[in-house]
Amino acid sequence: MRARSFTALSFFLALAGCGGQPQFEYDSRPIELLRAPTEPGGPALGATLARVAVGSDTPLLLVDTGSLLSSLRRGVCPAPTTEPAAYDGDIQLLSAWDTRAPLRARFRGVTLFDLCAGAVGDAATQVAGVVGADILRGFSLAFAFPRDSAQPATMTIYSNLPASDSDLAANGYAMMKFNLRGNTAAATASGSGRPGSSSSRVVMRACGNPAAFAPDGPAQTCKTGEVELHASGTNLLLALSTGHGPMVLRASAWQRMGGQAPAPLGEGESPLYSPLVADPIPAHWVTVSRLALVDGDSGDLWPGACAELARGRRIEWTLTNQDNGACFQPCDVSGGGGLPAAAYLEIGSDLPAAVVSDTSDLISNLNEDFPSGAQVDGVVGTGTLAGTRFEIDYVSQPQGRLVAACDPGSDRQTCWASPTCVGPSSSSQTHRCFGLLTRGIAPACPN
Amino acid sequence: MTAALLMGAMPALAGPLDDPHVGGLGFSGPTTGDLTAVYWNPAALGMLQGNQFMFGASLRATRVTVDRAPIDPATGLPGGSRSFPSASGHGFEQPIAWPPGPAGFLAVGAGVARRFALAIATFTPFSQKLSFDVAAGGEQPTRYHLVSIDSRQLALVTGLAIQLSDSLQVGVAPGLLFSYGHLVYDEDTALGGPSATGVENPDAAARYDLATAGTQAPSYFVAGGIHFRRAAWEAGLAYTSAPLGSGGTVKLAMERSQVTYPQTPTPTDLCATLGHSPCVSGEMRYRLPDLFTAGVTWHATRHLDAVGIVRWVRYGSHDQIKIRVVGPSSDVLLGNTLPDQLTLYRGFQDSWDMRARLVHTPVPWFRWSGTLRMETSAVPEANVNAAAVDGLKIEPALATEFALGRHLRVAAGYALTWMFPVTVGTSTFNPAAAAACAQAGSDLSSPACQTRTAGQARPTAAGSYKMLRHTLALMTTVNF
Repeated sequence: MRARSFTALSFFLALAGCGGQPQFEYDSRPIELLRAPTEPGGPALGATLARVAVGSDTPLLLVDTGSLLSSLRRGVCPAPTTEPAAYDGDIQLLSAWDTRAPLRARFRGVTLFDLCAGAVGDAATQVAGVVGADILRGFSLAFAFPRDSAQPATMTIYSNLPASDSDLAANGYAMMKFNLRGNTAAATASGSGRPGSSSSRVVMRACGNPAAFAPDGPAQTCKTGEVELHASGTNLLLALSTGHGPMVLRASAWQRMGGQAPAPLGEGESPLYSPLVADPIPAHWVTVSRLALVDGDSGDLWPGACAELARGRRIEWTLTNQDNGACFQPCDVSGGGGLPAAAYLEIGSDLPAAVVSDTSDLISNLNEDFPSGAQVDGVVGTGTLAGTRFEIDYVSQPQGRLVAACDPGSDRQTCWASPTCVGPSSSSQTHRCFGLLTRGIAPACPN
Repeated sequence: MTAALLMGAMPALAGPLDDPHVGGLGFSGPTTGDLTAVYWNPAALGMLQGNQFMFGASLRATRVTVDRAPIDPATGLPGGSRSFPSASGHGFEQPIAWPPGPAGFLAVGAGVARRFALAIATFTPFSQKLSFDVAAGGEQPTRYHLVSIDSRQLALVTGLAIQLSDSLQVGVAPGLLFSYGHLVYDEDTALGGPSATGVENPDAAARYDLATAGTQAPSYFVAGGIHFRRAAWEAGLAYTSAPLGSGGTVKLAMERSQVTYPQTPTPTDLCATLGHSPCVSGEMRYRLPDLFTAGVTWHATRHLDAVGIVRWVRYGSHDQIKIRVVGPSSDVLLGNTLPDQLTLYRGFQDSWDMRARLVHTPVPWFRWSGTLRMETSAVPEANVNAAAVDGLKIEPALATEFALGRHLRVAAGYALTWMFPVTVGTSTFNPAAAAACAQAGSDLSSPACQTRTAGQARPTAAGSYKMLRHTLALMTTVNF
């Protein structure tokens, strides 16, 4: 029996070797997680929480794709001014939902920092450690965030996601490629005292507050070269963090979206408790009508998330109304065929968001790796993603993939996952997009 | 030289994956100086003179009989009142198929200036084909381990041999391995879950039908060997690697897969709402063995050769088959109620394949051989199940070869492989572990969950297993 057990476990020692290499043990079945409040007094739809074995104690452990480093305090909290010490340690991740706290994953020989992660969601939710993206990036992680706070969130650890982009699209998933951010040198000059890190934070292109859309609504026209003119909403660059509950926006991004940021920010309002900074952050709480995460890149020719979203909607409108003579708008056509519609995940409505200062430690932290480049505007948290299921495929090459779907039964206004739609290249071919019937190519409208 | 060319050894049947008859029946082995050396021992290619072309095919018919032990219908453990009808499995392998079938051999090569030899060959070193019939009363007693399997690894290999001296040759043969797979089995959704249906209830069985879309992007491997001859003796030693660069692992994209839910009240096809099928993607990973081959030929007289061959097939690496499937976005059962990440436990062990052969050449245009082969089991008794049936095997084989003119030779052979019946009393598969693991909250530190993680928390495979295989092989050699 001992030999059998050894065989069983050894297969799951995914990263190997000897001599201090990390070793991981998991069973690729859902791990039930608690969720912290999205904000003080808010629903328990926020940061994802497991438990961790520390001696005979089982304090809370944050599972955060937005944290670049993992930590676990070894005793009393060190003074905030002390440079955190790194050590090779183990994390025994226990289910926080099951009162028996069964062992659900083990990360052995990983680099941890001896610091107190502090509060997440509200002041009462104190965590003893963080499993961050430096560990999680070695896997493909599936998350499910039920809209009902009485249901647990789940995380499933896989070694990879063995499905091609085209298969995922055909099977109804919105597949969005992402880049990783967060590479910083050790002993940064930010004054935060944090050690250096490698790129492991998922950053997504997004469109904030786009106009509502219905495929049976009125047509939108768009002539050649006008693709950006007919976009609605504000382009955003957001980090994906399961350690945050609400959406977080820096004040300048909120103002680009047409919002007002009072000064001083957050006076008389609840602060934001973020795992990325030690102290509560003054925040102004607002609602965002809807948010779309959009597949796209940062190339100069890319029209932006909102323009891609608008194009995707126009193409869907055309295909939906094709039998009534609808045609592709000139700005969505190239070489006689329709341009591909980018995949997107649209979430609504009236999403809670915390607006924080551009100079806050949180925003500085998010942009520490790239202070003069494209700035991260904030965070998409788990509360924003309630009602969705997604898998973060870190290990896909050459780029990571975020594969998203909505909970069954979701209505379009609360969650809509739109796979990429690549139209046929000739009239003899057919295609099937947006859950519509298979059909041939639609004509292009005159310019 | 004639004796050397006439030597050879012929295997018969090997472990559950390995084809021991590559290059035909009765005359090939690690000291054989023809194109089959690309597989057996690339160094022996150095004996090739002039140009040669070989093609051949084998027909293999396998019959497996499984008589499961009765089980307790409540726990699934052996020893209860529920009995099963006998299950029969059949496999017929032949090379005329697409993707290319097993048991074929095609090669062309040339000896150059008595110093070098080059060759290119294609064959199937690993394959498994078995399909179980529906038994009386519609029962499928082996369904939780295997309904059917068709696994092929087609090799495309180039061989190079160098004659270092009159008696010593070395050779190397790098190759590509093109894989194809189709696996069908059932999952018992009642195991470990809140179900009132009891274990092994067909109504609670979900079917996993996993298949590649043709052959896959190849993995690569290499073989190398040495050949030595002195007076009436020849010896050869060769090593063939498992797939390189992946720790011996073959990774198959199962792009034409399907998962059918249990009857509630009728089986539900995952793809029904999507309007297209298949709608399940997947991946299967497993390790292939590397192998060592050694052979000795004694040219006892002008007309008689005695040959001994030993192969060490390192099956110990074939411990598990790992599977992940990804269903459509509208589905929430896969990954929750039904596992989307599965481990099929194999737990193989290394096997030894030993053969003794006499080759008699009464006249220059005719020879015949008799081979007796024995192979140890690649599967420990407790691990035997319908998908991995193996035991100690004995195989007598007869082969003959005629020369038709100066350039053409035709060989034919027949082998009968008989496996000593295997009776599995205590199966490594423990259905109670699934329930125990669920009760432990899927705690990885519990022995039951470690059993589940290893793929052993499945319906028991206790019972008796029999296997018989007939192999008929034809091989044509053209020298020009």
